[in-house]
Amino acid sequence: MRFQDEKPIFLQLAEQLEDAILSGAYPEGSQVPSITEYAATYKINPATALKGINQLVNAGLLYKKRGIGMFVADGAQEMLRKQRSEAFYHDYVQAMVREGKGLGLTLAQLTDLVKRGFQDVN
Amino acid sequence: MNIKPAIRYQSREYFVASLIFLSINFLVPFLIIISLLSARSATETSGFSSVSYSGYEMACWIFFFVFGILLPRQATRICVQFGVSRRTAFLSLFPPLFFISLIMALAQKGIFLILDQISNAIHVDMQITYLFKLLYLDGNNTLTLTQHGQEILFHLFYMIANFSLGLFFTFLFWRLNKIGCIIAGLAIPATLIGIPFLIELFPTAFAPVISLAKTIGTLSVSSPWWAILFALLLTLFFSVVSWLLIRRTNIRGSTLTSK
Amino acid sequence: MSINCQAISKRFGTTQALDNVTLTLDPGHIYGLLGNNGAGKSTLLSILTDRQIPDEGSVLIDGMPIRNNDKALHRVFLVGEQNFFPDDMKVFRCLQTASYFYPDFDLERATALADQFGLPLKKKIPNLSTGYSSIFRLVLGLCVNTPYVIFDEPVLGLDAQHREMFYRLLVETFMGRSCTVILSTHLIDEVEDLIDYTIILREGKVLRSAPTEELVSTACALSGPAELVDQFTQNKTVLTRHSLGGLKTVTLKEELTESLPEGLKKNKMRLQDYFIRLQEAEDQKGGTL
Repeated sequence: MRFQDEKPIFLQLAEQLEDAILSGAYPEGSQVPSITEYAATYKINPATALKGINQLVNAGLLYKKRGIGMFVADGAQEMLRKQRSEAFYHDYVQAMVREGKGLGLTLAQLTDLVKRGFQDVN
Repeated sequence: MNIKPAIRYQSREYFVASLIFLSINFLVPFLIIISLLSARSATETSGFSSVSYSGYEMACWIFFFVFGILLPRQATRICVQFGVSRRTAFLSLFPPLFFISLIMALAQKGIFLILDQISNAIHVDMQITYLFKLLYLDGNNTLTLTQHGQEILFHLFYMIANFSLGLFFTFLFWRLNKIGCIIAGLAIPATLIGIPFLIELFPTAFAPVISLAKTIGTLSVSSPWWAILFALLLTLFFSVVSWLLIRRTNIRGSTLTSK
Repeated sequence: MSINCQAISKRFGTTQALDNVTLTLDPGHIYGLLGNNGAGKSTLLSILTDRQIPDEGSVLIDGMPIRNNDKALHRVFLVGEQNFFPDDMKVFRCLQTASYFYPDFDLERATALADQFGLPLKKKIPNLSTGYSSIFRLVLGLCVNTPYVIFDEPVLGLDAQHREMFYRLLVETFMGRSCTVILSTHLIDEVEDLIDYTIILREGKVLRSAPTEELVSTACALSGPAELVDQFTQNKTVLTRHSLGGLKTVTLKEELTESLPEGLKKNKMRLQDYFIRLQEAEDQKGGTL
């Protein structure tokens, strides 16, 4: 896989890890691949990989076991879900409402549209 | 110093080549003897019962000259590739050289002794011209123990001297650029041919050179010790010059070509 | 603990191959040595390994001058484009010889890697094709285990799969031994994420030497309608300009923090773009002088 150009690579790696935790690919309490494995797989500098992983360590999503490796913290999935829904509200819901208001939609009309969206997208 | 692996590498290179060279050295005279014997049995009484040959030792000297041309370049490249300094690479040339020339000198001596024994035993008149005997013994065929030793040392040091001559040429051509190589390539034979000419033309100007050469010649023939000393001096001279040549030169490899 | 090049100059006839190059290569980095053909990369690498002697300046490895110094030279390994092996040497014999010279050379891994890459061990080195001779050289470099390993055009002639394998192995080796790697290459795009420090040579001089991230952030590309772009960049240092019809793209020698007017688009630069723009800017400079 290739990283995109706009964001720094370490952030993209951090997001990928978050996605993997959220989707359950890395269950809570399980060990995540080492920095070497990430660096080797994505062919990125190990320092960059470390920086990306440290983002999650600092956020309390991962914890280190000395000499063994990195593990997914308990409650990491829930924490991420909260974080992501907050971001979702901020990035998408607010934007949608703003756009809807611009089009002159009422709350009821907007809710209807959301319901329709829910049915159409599976 | 990282000299050991450099020596190990060269020893292996020497080993194979010397082995081939020595086995040829061994085989050729025996083949001659065998063919002589079979010829004699075929023709009963009359026939070839005498054979003479010479230049045995020279072949050995040339072998070392050729090695002097080939090996130092290879060894220097390998050393440079594998993190050995130029000085160590240069110094590493000498221990295996000394060792192999000693082996070769001893082996040569051994071949001579065996040949003498065989030709005596089967009454084949083998007239082998030994360089050492030719120079120092006036045809007297028996050597004293000291003379045996001298013969070994004599060949040993001339093998080394020949190597150093090859070494000098190979590093000289390495040092020179293309035009320099062409000039040197022309100049070396030109001087070799030209100097006798010049001596003939200007005998007075070359008088000191001629007298020096004469002195060296007479001294060398007068005693093997002198000859050995001159070989040593030649080796020293060419080695020092070779070091000065390689000390700052650009060590090139050959470009990897695609096939 | 580092490689120090101190004011190195080297001249070949009338060409100044290197002109007062001063560099420090610290451990723990993967360096990218970039430059167009003839920029002096190979000469610099040859000098670092004492294959060539500089006219001026000196090289120190971990504080030791390299001249006639086995200890210093033993710490650097360069696999260059030139073949330093005898014509009759076979691949396996060469790996074996390497293990005489470097006690840390991992012969087992070397043969395993050769197998993985399909490198024939019994073939003579000069008879290898371009691709396999590259593989041969990088197998040496990956297994030699010296503190500093230099790869000069490591992936020359390698197919995509083998290139990917090499980069992967390089990271593993680098992490396993924490050695310093110097990659000299033209394939900038492939190594951009790998090299954390970039050195750009041009005409024998060090043009840039900085952490890769820092380097690309010192420039950005801006595109939009020509008029708008010109207006916006009036008081800014423009490296290069390109027009495609009414659309204009410029490279700015600064990071933009201010918000952009409607219609303009800012793009983060990739290292290869940065490199090319930088060369173009230098070419233009040369033209006006």
